Amino acid sequence: MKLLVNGQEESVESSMTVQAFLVNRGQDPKAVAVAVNEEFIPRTRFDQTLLQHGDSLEVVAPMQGG
Amino acid sequence: MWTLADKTLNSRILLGTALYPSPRIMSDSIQACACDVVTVSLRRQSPLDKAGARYWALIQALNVHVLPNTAGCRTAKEAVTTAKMARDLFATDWIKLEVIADDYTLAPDPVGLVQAAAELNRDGFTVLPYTTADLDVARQLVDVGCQVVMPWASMIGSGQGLVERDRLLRMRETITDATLIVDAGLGKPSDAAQAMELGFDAVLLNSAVALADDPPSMAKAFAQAVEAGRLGFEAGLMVPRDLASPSTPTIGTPFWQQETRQP
Repeated sequence: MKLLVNGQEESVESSMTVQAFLVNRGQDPKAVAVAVNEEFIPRTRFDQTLLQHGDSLEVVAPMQGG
Repeated sequence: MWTLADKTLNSRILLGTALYPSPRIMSDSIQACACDVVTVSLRRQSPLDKAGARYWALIQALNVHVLPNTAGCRTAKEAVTTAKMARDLFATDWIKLEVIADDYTLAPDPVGLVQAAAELNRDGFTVLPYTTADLDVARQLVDVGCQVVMPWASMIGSGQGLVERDRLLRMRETITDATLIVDAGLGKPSDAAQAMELGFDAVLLNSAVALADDPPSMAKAFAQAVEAGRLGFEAGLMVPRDLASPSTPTIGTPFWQQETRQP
């Protein structure tokens, strides 16, 4: 299925949770924050949130800010 | 010592962490002004990019409070979602709320700002909204539960100083039930001193320090200016007068004569 991740299309083999998606992608789930279809997903729900074909994800990390 | 929302702080400077020539110079600048609060942000991260983790480790090592922002958000919904992501990532309910209306001036969208502030306040955030010097918008932000309001002195990153001086003064005189922080537009230490002399509780800076030739020294200069300005405000400034008034006592002045000019 296809996902839009940070504005770019990515393909994954099957339906999976946010937690599994991040781990598969090599990202530490504790080091990022996530929104799916513009809705915030708390870290405590990463392993209960199932991604669907066509979902749009934002995966963000700390950066410098003013 | 002073109180910002639920925290007791020493410094009246909140410092941004962007635009420095290097991470080391950023750290040195934060330490040079001894600020207790630094602003941070969020960005999209690819799996290969470890810069975010390195940056966050550096900030955590400084033992300061972080104030995440919603920079770049264009709508209330984007800002609210970003604030929630920031709370998850930085483990703080403080949020510097930015809802930007215009790319050229980076002016806030007052409608979206008040709407997002209301929603985030209901959700338990401590909202520090970046706004203009408009008194009515500031009042609305207080009315929807903001304990802190952060008006600009001039446009973000412009270094133009207190272009909005008169409106800022009116805001400070009118809004006595909220903490007011001048955020954005300060260019020189004397700008910060002026803001403090007007009675503002603190200043939020970034470009003025980060873009200096020597950022740590500039951070220190701002710290001294802010301290001087605050002390001046607390000491009670004299009221300006229209005409000269001698400061040296005139009684007993040598060569003093009743008539200074002969007819």
